[in-house]
Amino acid sequence: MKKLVLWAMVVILACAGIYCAKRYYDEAYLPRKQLKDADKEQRELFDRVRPDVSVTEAVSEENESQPEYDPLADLKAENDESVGWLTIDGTGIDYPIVQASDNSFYLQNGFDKQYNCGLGCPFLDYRCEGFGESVSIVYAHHIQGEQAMFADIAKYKESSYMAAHPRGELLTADGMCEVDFFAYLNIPSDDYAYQVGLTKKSDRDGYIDHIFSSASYTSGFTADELKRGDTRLLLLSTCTYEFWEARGVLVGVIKQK
Amino acid sequence: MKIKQLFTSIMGSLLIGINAMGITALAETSLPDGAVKGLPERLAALDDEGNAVNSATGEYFFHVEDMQFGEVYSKNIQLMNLREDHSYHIYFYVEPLFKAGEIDLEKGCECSFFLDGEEIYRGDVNGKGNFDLSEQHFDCGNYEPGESHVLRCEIVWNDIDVIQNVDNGHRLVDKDGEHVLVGPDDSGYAEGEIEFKWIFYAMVDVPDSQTDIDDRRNSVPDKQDSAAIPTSKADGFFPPYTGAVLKNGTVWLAAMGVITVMIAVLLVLIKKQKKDKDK
Repeated sequence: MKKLVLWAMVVILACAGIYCAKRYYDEAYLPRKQLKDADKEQRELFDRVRPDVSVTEAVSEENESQPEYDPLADLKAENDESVGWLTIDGTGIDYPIVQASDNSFYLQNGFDKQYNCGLGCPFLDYRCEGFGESVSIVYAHHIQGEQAMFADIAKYKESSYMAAHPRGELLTADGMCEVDFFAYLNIPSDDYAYQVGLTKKSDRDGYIDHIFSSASYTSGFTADELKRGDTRLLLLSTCTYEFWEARGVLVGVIKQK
Repeated sequence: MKIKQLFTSIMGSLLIGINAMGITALAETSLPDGAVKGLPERLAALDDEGNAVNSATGEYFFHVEDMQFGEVYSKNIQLMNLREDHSYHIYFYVEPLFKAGEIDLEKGCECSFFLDGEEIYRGDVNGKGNFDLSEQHFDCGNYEPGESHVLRCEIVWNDIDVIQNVDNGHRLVDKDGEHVLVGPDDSGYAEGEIEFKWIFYAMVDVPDSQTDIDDRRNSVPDKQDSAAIPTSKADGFFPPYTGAVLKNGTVWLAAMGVITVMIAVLLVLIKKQKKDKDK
């Protein structure tokens, strides 16, 4: 009788174990697997559509007299909302940039516009008109514990990471640009850094001062240097987890090559 | 009427978000400035089984396979504001994702939404109905702290015409007084699939809720010639929520570990008991 009770307990525990395994699979394993699969799939797509920079630059020089030449033409053939391609050597950031009519579509959908388990695709703030304005903001996910999308932006919290990866390349419809990163901000989501459409010089100067005053650190440029001329700033924004609604923002200056 | 051996699939996912600004009269499919997908703490959406359906990445909360003609499929969601500090307006719109297959379920299905039993929408699953949910955001009302409402969704495949043009050897015949879809060898199979998002988001109910989104969009604090460092917020704009924390399942792993140990102990006891008995 006692043996029967013990075996019954074994069976009950085994059932409980199976239940726990199922919950673990559904809640922890499966979402990560789906995300990894989506990331892998999207990276394969990126490999297929990545513009050949050397060809782009050569063709760009040949076609200087033809203003209609668009180095993103091939990219736009895949996704008509493509506005650029961003690469930061030595990091995992090597992605196309898209722009929708809102800031939510590409949070859930990939470059092919299909739902990709919430991995999304880097996208330009819908309020920006290309990268020609004084402030352009690009968003992408930073999923805690996963190395996908803008996860590497959070690494810029350490100034040594900035020192090792100070420069990026941005291919836009106007050609190849260089991006010199100079500041990292760890700010709340309602920070003034998310302001765009700065048409007055005084607003732009104030904005630059704000970037410098709220940055965790800066390097390479001073505020006065950036206030001279028509400085174009590129902000790469993602979520970080230091506090509620925390954002990590890498700020760089866009320079036409 | 009875339809045999038809396979259909219909899916809906629910997304809920929050905005800290108040806006009404929305006329675009995009979320308003500041509305991001992800619920504020203690604003809950639960389905019939009590499961939360409010993750930032969305949940498949309506999933029907082997859909039968004429049968009504329904789902309830309880939207609750359990906070004590803010009341919220909850808005709703529809984002079509894709449809595929021989059966056009967008045309063939009718979808209805009821808020606390009162019908608020009737049309197709992609939001085209008594008003266009793909273009307009529907205001599901204000939720005071502690208040809750039940949103009921019903979907029925009620248009048989959508299978008339299925060209794979199928035909509708009368059999024993019933309309039956049959294939070339009486084993008809046709397929239709449609997927869409029903997106809900919440906004804090603030007095300036009539502010026009476009007015706020490009307005920059007027600093005139002052180059003082701005300390104001980004003019009501909130960037999209680009974070996600995946569960690591530690609790379940630990439970499995404990269970394994307990089973091992029990097996040892059983073995020991057997040994004692043998002795």
